[in-house]
Amino acid sequence: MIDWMAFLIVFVTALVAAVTVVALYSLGIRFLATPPPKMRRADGSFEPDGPSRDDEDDDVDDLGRPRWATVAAYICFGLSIVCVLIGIYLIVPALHG
Amino acid sequence: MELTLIVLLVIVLALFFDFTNGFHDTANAMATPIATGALKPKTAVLLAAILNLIGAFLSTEVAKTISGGLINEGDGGVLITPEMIFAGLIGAIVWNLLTWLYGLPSSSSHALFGGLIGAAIVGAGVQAINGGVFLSKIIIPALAAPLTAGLIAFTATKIAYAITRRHDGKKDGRGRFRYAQIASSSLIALAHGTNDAQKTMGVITLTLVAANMQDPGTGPHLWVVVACALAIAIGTYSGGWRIIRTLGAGLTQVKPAQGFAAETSTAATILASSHLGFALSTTQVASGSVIGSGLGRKGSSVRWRTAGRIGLGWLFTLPAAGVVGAIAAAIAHLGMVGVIIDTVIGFGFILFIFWRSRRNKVDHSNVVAVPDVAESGYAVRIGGGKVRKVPTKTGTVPPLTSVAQSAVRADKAAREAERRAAEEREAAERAARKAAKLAKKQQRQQTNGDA
Repeated sequence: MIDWMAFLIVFVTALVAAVTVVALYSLGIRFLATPPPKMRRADGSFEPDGPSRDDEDDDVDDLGRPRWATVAAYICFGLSIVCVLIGIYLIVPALHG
Repeated sequence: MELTLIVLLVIVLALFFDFTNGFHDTANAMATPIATGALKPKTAVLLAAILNLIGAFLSTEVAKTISGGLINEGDGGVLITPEMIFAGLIGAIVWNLLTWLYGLPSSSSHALFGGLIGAAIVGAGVQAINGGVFLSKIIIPALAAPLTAGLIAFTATKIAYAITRRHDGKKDGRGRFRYAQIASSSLIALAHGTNDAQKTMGVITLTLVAANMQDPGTGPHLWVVVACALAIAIGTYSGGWRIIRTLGAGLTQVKPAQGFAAETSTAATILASSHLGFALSTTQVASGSVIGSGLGRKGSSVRWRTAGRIGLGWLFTLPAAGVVGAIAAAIAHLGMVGVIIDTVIGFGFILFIFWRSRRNKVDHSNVVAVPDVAESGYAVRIGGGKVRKVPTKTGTVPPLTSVAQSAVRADKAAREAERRAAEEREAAERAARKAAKLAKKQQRQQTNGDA
């Protein structure tokens, strides 16, 4: 009577889809936040790290971000956009018949 | 002639139901982006309204049965008369307005089913209801939807924060999740338009078929599609601000990364459920996602009291709409007089709810507290802080949430300031008039003296 298999499929599909999209966009944001290469001090040690923080509204200080990080970030954002397009494809009946 | 009147009434009520459906469900898509500031409140509802309008035109394949198998329709079953649909719609509208007044997100389809079931039981007895379908389409999904969405949103939130966390103490740029929020919430709004406007189109079309005004098996007339699309879009634009407040600020404090995770989970769950054949209620999925994402973010707390109120609302949606539908159906059995009595009472109730809602008005200006104004010095207390009743002119604001209350407080302060400013202005004017009079008098005395 209750189609548990269908429910399980819905659950797994939704989980995979949501996690993929969120992970992609998060990776993009993380890549944008890639710090510049560490500076070596005169005595051979590295600059120390600051305290950990979880602020949400902060904008990234993107000075000195390596080029590969920017490219990787844009790839991630691009893939997220593809996911949105897939979403639109699924919503509009005329597109998938 | 009589048949035409009842058909007309059903169409009007169905469109009004579509309207309440729209403003009830704006929150599903737009509560979280409004809460995080990704979209300004008015922009958000406008975007949702446009997407609902577009969505309504995208999908016009209406259901074969009004109740989706809940009522044994067709051969050997109950004949659903326009009177039954009329009574069912009254039940659904009454419940939708009542839950809106209390800011509770609840499923509009459940309200519609409830109203129809109530009307069908009065009309044809309990055997009209298909118990198996009832269990598998209403009860089980009602439990499964929030759990599924909650678990998915929880996982997605954890992952979003884990990936973007920086251990070197520099800024993490999570504010950028706001851009993504716009996309994810738009998807939900579009999906809503394709799903929900269709329901009303189905009701109207099936009524027209039942009244022999349309051939069975044909799609909805263009005017039906246009009217339904407009009704749901206008409803969405008018914004169920009360429900947006509950979902965006009442359950948990929403941050951009968390909001994006919640919306993506909602969109993914709805799309999966509608394409893989296990129907879930959008409202219940959205509420579950918000709770799940609240649990997933470190340092946030979920207000289970509010969650409990919402759950209670879901539990009552079907029976309550059913009772109203049954009463309306019983009155409608009197014939045309009954239908008119129903219409008058229903209209009175709608007016009453709107009048009652003006006591503590919630709109785009106070839907969620502006974080840096109303919440400064307040947000820190959210975790363990007690929620007190806030006295107002006409009673007390129920202990909603600290965030909602801070909005109420900010509201009151603003009004107080406005009043004081007006008083001051008046006093200044009075003083100026007095001074002018005095000056005139003196001048006159002087001229008199000179003379």
